[in-house]
Amino acid sequence: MLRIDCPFCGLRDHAEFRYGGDATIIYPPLEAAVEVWIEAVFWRENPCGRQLESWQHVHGCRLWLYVERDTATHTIYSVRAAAPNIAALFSPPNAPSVTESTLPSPKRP
Amino acid sequence: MTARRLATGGRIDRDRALSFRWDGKLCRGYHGDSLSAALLAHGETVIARSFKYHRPRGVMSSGVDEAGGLVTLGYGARRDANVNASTQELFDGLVARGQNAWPNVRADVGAINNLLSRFLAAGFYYKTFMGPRLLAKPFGTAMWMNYEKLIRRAAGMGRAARRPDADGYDQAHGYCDVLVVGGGPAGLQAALVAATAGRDVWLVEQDRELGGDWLSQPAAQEAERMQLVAAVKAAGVRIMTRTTAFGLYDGGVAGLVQRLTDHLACPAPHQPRQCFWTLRAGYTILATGALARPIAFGNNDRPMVMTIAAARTYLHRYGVLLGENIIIATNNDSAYTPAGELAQAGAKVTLLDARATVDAALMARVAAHEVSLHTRVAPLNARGRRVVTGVDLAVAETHGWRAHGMQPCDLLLVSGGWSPVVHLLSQRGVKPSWDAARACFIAPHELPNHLPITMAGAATALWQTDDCRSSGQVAGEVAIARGGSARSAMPAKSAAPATHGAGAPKNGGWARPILPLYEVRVTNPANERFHKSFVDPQHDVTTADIRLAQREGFTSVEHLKRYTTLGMGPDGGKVGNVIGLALMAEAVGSTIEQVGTTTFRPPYTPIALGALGGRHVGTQFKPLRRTPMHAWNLAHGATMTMAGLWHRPWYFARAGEDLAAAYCREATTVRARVGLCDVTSLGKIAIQGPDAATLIDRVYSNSFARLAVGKARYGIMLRDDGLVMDDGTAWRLGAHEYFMTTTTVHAASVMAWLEELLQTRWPDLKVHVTSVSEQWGGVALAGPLARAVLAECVANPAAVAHENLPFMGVADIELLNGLAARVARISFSGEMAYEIYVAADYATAMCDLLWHAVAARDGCLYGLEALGTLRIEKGHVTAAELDGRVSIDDAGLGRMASPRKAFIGSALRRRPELQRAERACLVGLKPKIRGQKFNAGAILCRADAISGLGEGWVTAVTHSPALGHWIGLGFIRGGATAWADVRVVAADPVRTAPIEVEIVSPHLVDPDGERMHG
Repeated sequence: MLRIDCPFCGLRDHAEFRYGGDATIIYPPLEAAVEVWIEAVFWRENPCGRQLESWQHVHGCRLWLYVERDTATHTIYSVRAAAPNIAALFSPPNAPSVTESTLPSPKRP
Repeated sequence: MTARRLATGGRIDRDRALSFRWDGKLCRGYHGDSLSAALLAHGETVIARSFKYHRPRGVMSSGVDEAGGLVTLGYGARRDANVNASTQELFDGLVARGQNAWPNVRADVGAINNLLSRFLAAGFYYKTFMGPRLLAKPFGTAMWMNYEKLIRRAAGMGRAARRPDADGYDQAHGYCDVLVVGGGPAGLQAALVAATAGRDVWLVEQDRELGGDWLSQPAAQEAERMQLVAAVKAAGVRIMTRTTAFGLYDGGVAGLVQRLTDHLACPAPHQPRQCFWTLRAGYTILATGALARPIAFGNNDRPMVMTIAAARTYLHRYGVLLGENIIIATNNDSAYTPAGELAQAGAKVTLLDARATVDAALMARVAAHEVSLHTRVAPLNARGRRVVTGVDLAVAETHGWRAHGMQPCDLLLVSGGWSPVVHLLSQRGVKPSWDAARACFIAPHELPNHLPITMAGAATALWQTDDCRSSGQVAGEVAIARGGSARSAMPAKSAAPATHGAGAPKNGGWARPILPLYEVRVTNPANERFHKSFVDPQHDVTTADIRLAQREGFTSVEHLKRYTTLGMGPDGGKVGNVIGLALMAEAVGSTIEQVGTTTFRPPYTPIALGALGGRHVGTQFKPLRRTPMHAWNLAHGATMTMAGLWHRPWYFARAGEDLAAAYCREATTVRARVGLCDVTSLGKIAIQGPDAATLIDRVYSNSFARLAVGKARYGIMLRDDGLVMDDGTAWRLGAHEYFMTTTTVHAASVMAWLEELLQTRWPDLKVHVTSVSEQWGGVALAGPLARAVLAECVANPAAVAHENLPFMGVADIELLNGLAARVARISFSGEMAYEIYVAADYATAMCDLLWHAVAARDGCLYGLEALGTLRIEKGHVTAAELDGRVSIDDAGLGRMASPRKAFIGSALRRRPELQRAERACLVGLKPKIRGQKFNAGAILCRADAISGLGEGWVTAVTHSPALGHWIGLGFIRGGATAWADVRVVAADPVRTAPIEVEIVSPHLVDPDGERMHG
């Protein structure tokens, strides 16, 4: 199974997460034309290799994350919070020392 | 019957005799025996019947690659079919039976299939039974329908217990730095190296003992084994025996199954039978060994034809000498040592080597034990029916083989080489490559850099124990250098990919190379007809089947596998796959390398389904959610039902009532007086922040911009693609605060959706969403007397008067017992109704208070069934209608899509597909003959064209007490107006005759909503 290094909770099994989708899609303004929305909603690349995708740590901190994953090997290159203001709290991204020293640790059973 | 237990030797405990039953007969064995060893020591040669032809089969191996000795173990609920007798440990009181035979494996009536075998070749079922349905019986598919039961009974292997599994299973999670799979010389050495360097090491071994091949070697090797095992233990390695690493997955995850009680006579009641481990390892070393490979020749499945490796194990591990007059056939060096050992144990041994030249030292070694050696000779056909009695021999010619006399024997041992166990690596997507020099599939020398895995030992085609141990040393060092920890995401990366097998000895450590030999047959094909020659004995796949598949065009390995079922038996092709590939390569004039191999998939060996389920069985199958009023509902006579994960009141039967009587009374009471219903399971989300109004207005299709504080509104949410996601309500509690309710079904997905929008699309919005579904306990109070009941239960009755709490009004109100309640005048039933929420812990106090007043007015409690009746009468949609394929217009709610604002889904709602006039739209349904009943799930068809997908479908039905007959909701092409003058039936061919229905507006009762506004 995939294991995703949640910036808030640490390395967790993918069973705790829910897959979102292609994170490179920029959704158009709500007022945009039908054609623009069709492009955003229905057309997807299907890359063999690195892909930026969104995941939610739905059984954890509930953060939406941007995960850079290789679709062929399942190697995960980076994980960051999707919301820029939340991601800024964890900069530099994925540095465990920052996570552990500046933020309250999640309680462990 | 010449197999016998030797007076001394073996790893069995001769002081601990065990008794067991085989086909009802009392037998004896020793502690340390496998079931197969004990059966062989008893002279039981036929212990199974084959899958298709019911041929007599005996033990063929001594391990996980057993293809013949599958038996049924235990009885009653604990009956377990297809148990491998070679790996099953003997225990006192064990009960085993032969399977796939009647009356027993020694005299099986089904053996007639063997005589019919020429009609039962590969693809028999497809060819005979699959065909156009139109053909009259008894041909084609119709014939299959008729004969399937008979065929299923005749084919197959053991039969599963008919009762629920009596055993419990557990699941556990683990973490380690280094996982070593395989406790042979290589695995032990690798574990020792890694643990000595301070790594947290798990060593997993499927056998009950550590040692691997050492366990099958003479007692002289025992000291070295003991010393290494002691060192491994002292180094702090976590040792798990009787544990199989059956699968490797992404992220360094291994699936292990630990057999805890399968070897025990009387497991304690609390003991789980097996434990399923999910192990996360920083680095994995596969020291999985190699499996002995047979050779195909005529009747090579006869009992007492087996691998040399097996005979050696029975000799040294179990002290059983399998024959007195043994013929050994080989194409490689590995047969010579066992040949000498068997001769030394007292057997007359003849060694046939298919090769022309043999190493002089090996020749001298076997000559010293009076083994007679014949080169360029191979077995052509095994004689005998229930046990081998002799071998027809073949001698090598320039091209192929020529028949060359017969020699009697009571045991025929074969070695066609060894197949390294590359299963686990292959599961990770690494294709094994064919090593022509060593005639086996091996892992590529360089493994992909992203895989924290290396291999060691015989799994890398090293055939000598010392070489295996050395390769374990190297693998352990690689794991130290490259391995990360299971608790960190990225292993410490070294630039170079892991390599193994560097500096491997020539020929894998043998003096002379192996002669690739997969099948022995004479060039005259007349012979084939008489001698069945098995590739995969477990599924009765013969060499002729492989060639048939080639002739019929199934030459790709993937097609070959599916057409012939090669490798699809319980052993997963451990015995036959390589031979099958070699024969296909020969048939198509190609090489094994080009033919390739199918992908290995988990599990490596069969595992109990119960282990996969673990404790998630019975009532623990899925989580159960109960409302805070659960006990209160039960105390008041509720019959419960499942709604998703929720346990909800279904109906509240009074004396003498069944479901139908109860829900009709409940619905009638709500319409006539008042009813009370637990609605806690609705999703509830607190939405707070200065931009809360903006968020609400963007996610709902209807306008919320002007919703005043203290008012609620019904709302529809669409998805990006313009289809309906969910419906619910939003209550405006303050300028920056809303309380949103969702359907029970979509509570979680709506919450995640709002979080996604706020975190990924609109991070600039200052809004916070919090799930408060479990913080509030809620009821619906509905009916013409609802206001009177509520007024009686609140501290200030004026607060609920129409002026202060009008339709869709919201108020925080103190109940008479001091509880703070959040009340909205919202109706799902079409009656005057309120939803009342209090803190979850006080929900039963609220129920007590309200129920007292409801009961005083001759009201009732109502459940999900009556709730459904009331909403169907009103044409209100739920998840049954909003199934993810329905647009807001399909649901008849188009007026709720605001034309004056943009919202999620507003653009794609207008795409052409969703605007088609013929789309199926929500309608109400009434039976033409009012006394008739129709079913949810029925297909709506024109009365004169009942076929195919019809014109629509029925989503919900109920008996309507208000109308006095059955009604329903459904979808039909074009909506109600399109079907005004057409006869339509609800077709439900499986359950009932077609029922003619009227297609009407979905608002079946009180279409103008006067009752709820009143």
